[in-house]
Amino acid sequence: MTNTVARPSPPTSPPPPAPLSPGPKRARRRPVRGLVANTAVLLIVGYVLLAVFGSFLAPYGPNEVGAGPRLSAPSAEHWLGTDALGRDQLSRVIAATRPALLSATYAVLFALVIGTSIGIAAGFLGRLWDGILSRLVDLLFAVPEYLLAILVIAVMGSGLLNASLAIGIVSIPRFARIARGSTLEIARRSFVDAARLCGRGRSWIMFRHILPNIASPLVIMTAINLSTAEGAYAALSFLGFGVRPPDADYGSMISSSQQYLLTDPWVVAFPAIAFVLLVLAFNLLGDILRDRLDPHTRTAAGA
Amino acid sequence: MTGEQTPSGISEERRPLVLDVRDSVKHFRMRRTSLTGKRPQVHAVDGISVRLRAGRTLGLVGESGCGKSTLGRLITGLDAPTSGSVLVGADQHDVTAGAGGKVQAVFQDPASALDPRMTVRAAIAEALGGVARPERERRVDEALAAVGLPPELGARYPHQLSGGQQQRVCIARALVAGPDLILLDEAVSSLDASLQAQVLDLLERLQRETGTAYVFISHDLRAVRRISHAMAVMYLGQIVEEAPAEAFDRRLLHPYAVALRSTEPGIFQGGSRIERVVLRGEPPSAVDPPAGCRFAPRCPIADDHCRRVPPELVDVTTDHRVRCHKPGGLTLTTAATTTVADLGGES
Amino acid sequence: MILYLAKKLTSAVGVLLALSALVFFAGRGLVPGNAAAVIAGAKASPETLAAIEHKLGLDQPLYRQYLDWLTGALHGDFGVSPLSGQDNLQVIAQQAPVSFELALMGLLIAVAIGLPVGVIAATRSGKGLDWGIRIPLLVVFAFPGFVSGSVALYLSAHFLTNLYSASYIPFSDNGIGNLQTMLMPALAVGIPTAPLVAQMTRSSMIEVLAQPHITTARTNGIAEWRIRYVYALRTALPPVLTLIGFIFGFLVGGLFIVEEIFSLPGLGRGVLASISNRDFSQLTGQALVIAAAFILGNLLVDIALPFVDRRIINR
Repeated sequence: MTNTVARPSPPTSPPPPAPLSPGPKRARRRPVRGLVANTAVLLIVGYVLLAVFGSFLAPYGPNEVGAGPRLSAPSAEHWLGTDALGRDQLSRVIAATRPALLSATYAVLFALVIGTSIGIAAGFLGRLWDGILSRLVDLLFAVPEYLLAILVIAVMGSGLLNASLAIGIVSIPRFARIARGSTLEIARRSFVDAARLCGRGRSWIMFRHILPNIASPLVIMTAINLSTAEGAYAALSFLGFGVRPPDADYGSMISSSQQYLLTDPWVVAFPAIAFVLLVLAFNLLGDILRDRLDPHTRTAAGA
Repeated sequence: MTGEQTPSGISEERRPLVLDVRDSVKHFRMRRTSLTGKRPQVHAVDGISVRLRAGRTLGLVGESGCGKSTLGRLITGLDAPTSGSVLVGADQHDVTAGAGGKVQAVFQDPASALDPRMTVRAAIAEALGGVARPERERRVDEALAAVGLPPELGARYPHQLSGGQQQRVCIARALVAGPDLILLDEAVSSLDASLQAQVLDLLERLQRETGTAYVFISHDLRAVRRISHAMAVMYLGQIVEEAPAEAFDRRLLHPYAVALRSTEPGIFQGGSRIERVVLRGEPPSAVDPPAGCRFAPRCPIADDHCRRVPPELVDVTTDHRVRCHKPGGLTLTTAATTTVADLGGES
Repeated sequence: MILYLAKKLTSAVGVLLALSALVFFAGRGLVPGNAAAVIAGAKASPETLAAIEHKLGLDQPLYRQYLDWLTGALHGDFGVSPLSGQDNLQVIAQQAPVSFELALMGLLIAVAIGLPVGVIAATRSGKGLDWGIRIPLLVVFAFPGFVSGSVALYLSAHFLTNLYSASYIPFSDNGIGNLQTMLMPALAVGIPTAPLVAQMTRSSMIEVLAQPHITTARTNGIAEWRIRYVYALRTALPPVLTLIGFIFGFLVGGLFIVEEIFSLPGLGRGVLASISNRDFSQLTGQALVIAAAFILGNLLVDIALPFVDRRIINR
């Protein structure tokens, strides 16, 4: 599963005949998929590098007011121009990669851990737990996501961590539902009964048998959610709930410069492009992983 | 077939009891189908008592849906009975309190019985919970050898093995901790004929060596009869006849058991030709069992009394019991004269 | 059928009740600085604070406050905001129609774009055109509502000036003017939602097109367009409908952003204002009305589904 992401399949090996999708169709699709997958992974790696080493690469301090004239067009000194306060846009776009990646990672990790735990417990520990936990998840699910996230922030205050946590809480039901469904399916298999007969307790079975066997749907869900979490964080940041003002953040950069959209389009365009590319890369990754790992769309058996 | 099937005798008495099922009942509640009505109940196992001694095999046969797999789950403690009890092991403790690996099982589909993400060694070692590592490794090696698998197979994953190899791994896992009782739930049904024979040979040999008791559940009479010392026939959650193996071949008394038996003429040892008894219709629903004898609606010799009064399971000899108002009314020899046309009017 | 509806109805009411408690306690219990402190100001003496708290009923135990509030809410009384002195219900009654109109128009636009695109992508599944549709869809999906919203606002302000109004025009004042000025915000809500509809339609259609009855229809010589747009689409739609909850959720998210960008006096903007004012009395009412509308929308879909696909009841 580790290297399924970017590996383009050799064109020489014909796909096994599958009843629903004939071979030739499949083969024609591969080069496109390989290219798309490579681009997506390359983009994500690039963003991670920028987030980690960006402060060494940025030509100016991201919050340095008057690094150049205000609202200057892209030039040799300021590749992406400057904003209304004369801050260097390139440095700010680079600086914004860190909260962008961190928020998505925090939010998805939180939802993954909590949601998976809830889902496995609900699916495995019997009716009583299932009743309680599923009700709880349904309750979370029954509230519009953005409303819930905004309410969480209203109670806890804004900022990178709180906004991430709000998004994480909102995403719990997706992970919980998929984990519960997969767990129910795995728990029916007789190796779980065999483990019980071997005197193994519930926690052994949950960690050693169920978790490894429900991993692939969770991986797909994680990739898809990175992109939605990223979008949600930018939206919250746009509404002013993200990192505190002088610091750069895609959403707040766009909201603070939208009034210059027509006269100086680059102040909105560059953060928007940087953001859209990142979300797109996550989205593609999710799509590719789903095509690869989802048994409904998979034709070749990959273990 | 082993030659030691004496129904009574000193050697039999000396064998310790390893399974004592006492009047076990298992009902399942179904989903509500209307707002006001009662939730319907499935009577999967309805008052079953069986006993089994060490080194012996009890064969449990019946149509699908007769409750034999549910009974298997009660015996292994995977499900708790609605009422009644299941005592296991030499110390006769309640199986629901945790058998501690003393009751094991081999299931029908070996592909589903092995975790696809666990190696063969890890799967077998799963039964050796509190055993220190070097000892554990040694016993896994022994178990692999005992079921006739080369040691290098231990590092493989289940999908890299054949169906027969997978089932051998399952047997090794069931055996490695030295259990008192192994439940074989359709354990050879998914294998082809030659593999079935091999695995049955293996099971018989292992039983002689270890003295483990087996409960062998199957719809495949031929396989069950081959390795069982006693047979029990189930119909709609109840045992309708329980007999030693040789009596099963020649002196069956319950019409359903006779009909079932007649489907496998080859295992009849006498050599005379017998004809098939064809049963009409499906078994009645286990949600709402018939008031009288549960087999009456399909029975070729049932009368009004059968349809009104449920028969009890009564002793014919010390270890032969039957639940029928007219035991012996339909026999294998008379079955030869009972034609399909005669049965047609009954259903 | 009745059992199915009863189940759905009970769960909707249950969720709403649980949610009201959650919002209420979160609002009153956890927030630093309750309404009394905000009204009294930072320098107020403890006595004044206590007096105001008593007047607002804040000195009662929380569950008591909640029960009082709930009884009121059930009678349509959401209380009076202690901060602005406005009747909460009245404020909500003014804001709700704006959001409702925006959501409805947005939904229509999303379906009008997403459905045909999804069908076309499905019939070309695996071919170049499929990716030719899927990638732009992903791009639009990745495009945040706030960017397309900003773009829409400035386009209308500078080029499509007859579609632009600096302030909201109520439908009752000027129906045509209202629809005109709501068009751009509705596009800003609908367009980012369209890819979601398209993706759901696509995957559902692909599944249906692979089913044997479609092959049978083909061998019977039924025209390809008829198979795709009549036979397959009819089977493919119910699964899409069951996922409409996602779409509603996405629309609500769009409301917050778009109302903020276009300065529309709707519930989304109202919630944001209540948060920045720390007016939890009003926030509770607004949040509940949004959630209730969302739950009601899902309930309506649940009720409508069995009429489209009778198998749903038995699930």
